[in-house]
Amino acid sequence: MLSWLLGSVFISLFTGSVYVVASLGLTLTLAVVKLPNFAHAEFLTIGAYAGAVVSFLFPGNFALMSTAAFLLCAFIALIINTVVYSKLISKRVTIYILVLASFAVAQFVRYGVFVIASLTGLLSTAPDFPLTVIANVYTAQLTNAYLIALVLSIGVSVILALFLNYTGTGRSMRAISDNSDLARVSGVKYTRVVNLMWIIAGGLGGVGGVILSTYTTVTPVMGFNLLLEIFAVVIIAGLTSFIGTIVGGYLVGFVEGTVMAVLNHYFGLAYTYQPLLPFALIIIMLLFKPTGLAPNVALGAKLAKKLAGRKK
Amino acid sequence: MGFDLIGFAVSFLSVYALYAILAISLNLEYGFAGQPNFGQAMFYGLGAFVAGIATSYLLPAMTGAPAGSICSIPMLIERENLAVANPALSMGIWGISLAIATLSGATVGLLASYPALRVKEEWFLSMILLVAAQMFVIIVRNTPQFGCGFNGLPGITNPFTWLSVHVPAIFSADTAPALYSLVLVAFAYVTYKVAQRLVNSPYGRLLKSVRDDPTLAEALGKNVHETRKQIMVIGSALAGLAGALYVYYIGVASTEDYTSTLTFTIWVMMILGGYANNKGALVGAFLITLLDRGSLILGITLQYYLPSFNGSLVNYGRYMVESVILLLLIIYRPRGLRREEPVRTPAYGVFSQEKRGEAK
Amino acid sequence: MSSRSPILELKGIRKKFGGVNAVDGVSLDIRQGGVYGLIGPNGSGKSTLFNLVSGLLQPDAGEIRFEGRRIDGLPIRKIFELGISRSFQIPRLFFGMTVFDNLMCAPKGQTGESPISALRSEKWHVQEQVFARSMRALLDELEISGVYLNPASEISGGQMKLLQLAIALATEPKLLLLDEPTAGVAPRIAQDIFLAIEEQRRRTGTTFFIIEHRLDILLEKVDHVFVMHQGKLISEGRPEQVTQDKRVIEAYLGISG
Repeated sequence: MLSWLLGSVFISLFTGSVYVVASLGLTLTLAVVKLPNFAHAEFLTIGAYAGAVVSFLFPGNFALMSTAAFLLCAFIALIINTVVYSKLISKRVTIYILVLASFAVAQFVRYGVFVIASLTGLLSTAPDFPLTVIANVYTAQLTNAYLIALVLSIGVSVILALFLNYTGTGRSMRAISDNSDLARVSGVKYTRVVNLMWIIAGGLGGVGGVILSTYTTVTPVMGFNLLLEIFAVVIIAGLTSFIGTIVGGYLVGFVEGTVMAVLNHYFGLAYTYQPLLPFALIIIMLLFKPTGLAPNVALGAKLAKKLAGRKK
Repeated sequence: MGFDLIGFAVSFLSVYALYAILAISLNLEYGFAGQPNFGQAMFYGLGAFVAGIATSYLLPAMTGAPAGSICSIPMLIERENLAVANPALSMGIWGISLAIATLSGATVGLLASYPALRVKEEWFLSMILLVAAQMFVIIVRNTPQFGCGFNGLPGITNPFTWLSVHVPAIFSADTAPALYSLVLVAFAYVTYKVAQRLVNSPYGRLLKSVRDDPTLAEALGKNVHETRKQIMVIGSALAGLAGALYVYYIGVASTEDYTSTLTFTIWVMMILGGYANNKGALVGAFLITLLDRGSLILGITLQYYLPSFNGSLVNYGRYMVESVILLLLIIYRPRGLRREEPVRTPAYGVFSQEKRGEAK
Repeated sequence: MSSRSPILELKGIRKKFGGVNAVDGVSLDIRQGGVYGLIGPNGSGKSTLFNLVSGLLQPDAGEIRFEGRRIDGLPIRKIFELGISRSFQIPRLFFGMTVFDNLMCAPKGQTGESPISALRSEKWHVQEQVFARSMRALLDELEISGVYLNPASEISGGQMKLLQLAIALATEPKLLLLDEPTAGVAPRIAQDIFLAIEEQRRRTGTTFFIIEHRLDILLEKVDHVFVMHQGKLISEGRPEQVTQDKRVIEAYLGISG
């Protein structure tokens, strides 16, 4: 009996890793430009499609798939920022308007993908990425995808942390995150750093989409379906903490996977109710611990205040 | 190709009336009172399902017909027969269902206002409502007790279908929907009038003061908390009513109709028409109905002339156009088409007079 | 000046912000019907004191009594109901509404302020007209005319200050806290402001507690002055005495020196 539970834990590790990679970009966006980007999930979709298309030409080449996804999503993120977000941020609009705008961007991108997928016959597809079983842990089969996900999750987090703390540009990014006006007048190249932020955020989302596509069917709504789960991750993270995102990613993965399995096994809760668990997490967090579970409470609280201050 | 003009006009009016009520309800909550609601579709859906379920149980119950699972085909057919055979009952149950649905909307709105008002930062409220709306869809879709599962609850007949049996002379396929569209328009009109009365009064000032500066409003003795609760109840009740009205128009209660995409559409209508302006809400609703129905017609037309054309593309295009409209508005004309107006009470008259000598 | 018990008593009020004592053990009494001044260099804690009295902030220690009753810790709305109003140094208005809509928020006891009564206009129509006429008279008195229908965001800074004052006066409070009501307005308007203040005081016996920098006004219009410096009360008395007080002069010079 315990074996399926332990097997489920390993699967949760995998989904948690995917969530971490998928959500880090959103945390970055929230931290640097204070924008709850509801369009972030669309990077997952675009990345998955990019990876899939590349895989049709070069099967099994994860590196190439992720590179293509990263580049395409980074490019789209840059365009979106230039055309929409930077204009709104410089106008100092309220946060509701920003949220609404990101919804609009998300819808535009999503249905754009629908159009393209529809015309190319790719409304439902999967990448040509053969999964090889590396080990059998209890009832779970550990595949190469799991390993890649885990490595990516840790690797990306470490690289991002190093970047933000030990490079000039990274520190500029943190300065903007702390106080963008002050950073601007202190000589930080605001536009350049923010654009770099979008490249990283979008790119990471794209890569997350590629890993996601190894176990989920690629459709125009695959990212959109995970939108609130990703927000659950960043809310647990207190919106701006990176350690928090890692904690949140694995927590959501665990809740969705193992807790769901337990509820299903012992209480007969059907798997179709699975999304309710992260949703419940969101509501509980917002009601009782809105600053998140992460150590970096100060930055989160500052963000919360700033978001409130944006209102007129 | 024969163009069913009457059919189109009826569907246009019906959709417009419903959109108008939704736009006004959101405008009251956000435009006037500053309460963002990203879960409006949930109250709409709630009203629809409550009305649908109420009707489906009441109809057989009140005619002494044998009960059964309301989702089954035999029960569906029986409902339709009963509705056609009993004019007074059919319309009476329609009215009762509307009332129950509105009440449900109000109640859930009241419940939703508690956690929503408990949160420290306001945007958490929008997040909670958004999540709650999504939870609503998942729960209803997967719990057959709440509405027949994935395919929805069918067999909710137009309250005028009995005309086909009792007054066959004037009845055609369009009669019942046409009459119902007029009913919908009447409801929209009343909603508009009520909303105008609400906002052109000291209460309207109160709403705006809570919106503009809640702390200052408190410092002037206004009960911000209570006001926010009230407006949530009013807005949700209206949305619930609209949902109930809708489900009789469309005939089936299905969760696909009540997703965040609809919530987004309502926001677009409100922002397009004009922030904090009821007439603006009517204008915004009209334009989006035009987009909505227009793309439907476009799709049908294109498929008629180009049989290989994929009709879904027009649908996708409609959503892309809507997103672009919103983005253009937000960037270039955030106040929308119609500006916010002063609160029109007798005070307006006093202050708009030219000064005649010293008023000491 | 009346020698009844004080309308406002502060005992040992303390408020800390991130390690700094913004208000550090302030005690003072204010008697009904007087015009009191509060002066001090920038950052001495004057606005914080007002925030504490009006309920926007809670004191860390000490007591605030209004008409003998403790009000520290009460919600803002309750403090307003008891009869305390205030204005803000940077005008705080409902910027989405017109000038006259702003002012019409002030009168107490409006029966139309609930959704049910809003729908039945006969309940508040007459009251609305009465309020409107007296509000207009107040605006005319303060010489803000011609901008009634403007959005409050589209008037000059001086007009905003006047509007804010009008709203505060219109609430007919027992105690009115004014935070630099004449800062940034022309001298003639400053005189008008104090005429209105005096008129109100005469009519309704309102007590005024004013943060004010202008020496001419202090000497002319104010009965009793309190001086704050670095969160503490360093001096009080009649304006002539206080402005000659060495400690006060040092406090001001010390800051700008």
